[in-house]
Amino acid sequence: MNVSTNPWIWFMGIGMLSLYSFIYKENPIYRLFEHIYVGASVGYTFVTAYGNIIDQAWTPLTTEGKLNLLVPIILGLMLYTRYFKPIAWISRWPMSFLMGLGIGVSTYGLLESQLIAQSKAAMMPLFVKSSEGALLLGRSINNIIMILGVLGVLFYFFFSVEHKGPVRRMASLGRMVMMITFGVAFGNVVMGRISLLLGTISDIFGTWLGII
Amino acid sequence: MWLERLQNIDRRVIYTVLLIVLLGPMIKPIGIPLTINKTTYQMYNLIESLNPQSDIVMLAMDYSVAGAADVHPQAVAVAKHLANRGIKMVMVAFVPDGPMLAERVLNILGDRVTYGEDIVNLGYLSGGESAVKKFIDEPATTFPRDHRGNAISSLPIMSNIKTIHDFSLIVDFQTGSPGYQDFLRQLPAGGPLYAAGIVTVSVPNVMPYLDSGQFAALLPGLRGGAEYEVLIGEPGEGAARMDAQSLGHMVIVTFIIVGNVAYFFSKRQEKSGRR
Repeated sequence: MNVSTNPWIWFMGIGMLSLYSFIYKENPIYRLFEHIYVGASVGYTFVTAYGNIIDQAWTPLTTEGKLNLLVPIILGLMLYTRYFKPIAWISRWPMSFLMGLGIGVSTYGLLESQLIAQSKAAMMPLFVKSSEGALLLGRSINNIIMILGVLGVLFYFFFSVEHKGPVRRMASLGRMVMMITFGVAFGNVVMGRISLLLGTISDIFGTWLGII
Repeated sequence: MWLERLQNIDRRVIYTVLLIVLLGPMIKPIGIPLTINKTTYQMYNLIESLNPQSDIVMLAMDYSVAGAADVHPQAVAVAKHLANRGIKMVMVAFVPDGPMLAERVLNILGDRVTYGEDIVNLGYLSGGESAVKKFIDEPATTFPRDHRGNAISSLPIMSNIKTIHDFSLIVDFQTGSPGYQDFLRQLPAGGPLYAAGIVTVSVPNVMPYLDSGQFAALLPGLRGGAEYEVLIGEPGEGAARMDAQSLGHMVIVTFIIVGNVAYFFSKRQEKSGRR
């Protein structure tokens, strides 16, 4: 056992235990460290964002004379007018600009990467053959399952016709595919949470207490 | 009565059992065999195929401290592999925690790399997807200084970077946004290959992108990191935690089975009681 002598490691360990004490029940120590955590996160983000403003806007403006940077700086300052009621309406302008910019920047790429490329990937042969012409059974079965699954889920969300007969059967298949997907997602959530818990255990029992 | 109890086990009991089960193999590993997934091999082969003379890799350090336990081992293992092969790395972050975690990776790499020549930590750029686009459009001039305050013009590695096409591969370690969706939306056609190290929770969401070929490779969570450590022959913190991870899953599965079996039998009892 090799307990750390670094006071910051002790602070980390005590903080982790305090935050995990919420599992037992809420308590003042948990509240204290919750506030410290939120404050430290906001403080760190503020400092890094401030550094960005200096590097990306203020320094090029003042030392290189890049006057076009005045536009984003003024738009940024306009956002803060929302704290002054009589001129709060001014903050809507940069907000509208940001929304327009966000939509403009992402729309083209969104269509290409998340709709067209994914649709293309879903268009696959049902029966896959090797270069010698032999049927590749495994890959063919995979493709058939994939296409039936995609069609089933699409039918499940297709509300223009009543779900009866073959449409109902396809929609049921789609529901089953989604339930399997949710199961896979839940399994990954469990795995992910255990990974994070292992990180904490490693910090507490390894870095701090030196047991591991 | 006991059927009801089994369906309502106190969460504190579950947490205590889980803690004991996880802690045991962390103190004394039991060596459960670790098989390597296809996606991890893809990442390994991708990096093996790079040319140390001409290829430069961009490491996007887009994971937060909160998710570092899941993703950091991946970043360390991939960086070690790249350093061992003598491939240059440019580290960029689009989340505030990124540069700090990049420094931790640099500390682990130690003498394997020369800062400024083989690797650089450019720091954090705020703005989410807009920042990703800005860096992709102008990778040479977006950062006037690196995270350590050095002028970009004084770093030999950056003299090789003019456009995003000067990178052969982007490996994006991420826990959320900005992440793969932002990169896939902004990367130009014919640009560098894109691979990701991703937090476990997001793995089902990204599999369609791997199948469609939009991802060149994928490392899934802590397991991906552990597998990569084994592949490069340097077992680290990821591999050390895999025994505990496996036993933790068994505990959760056991509790789920116990709860469901108790539910099933309590329903049967209810039915037979009504008759």
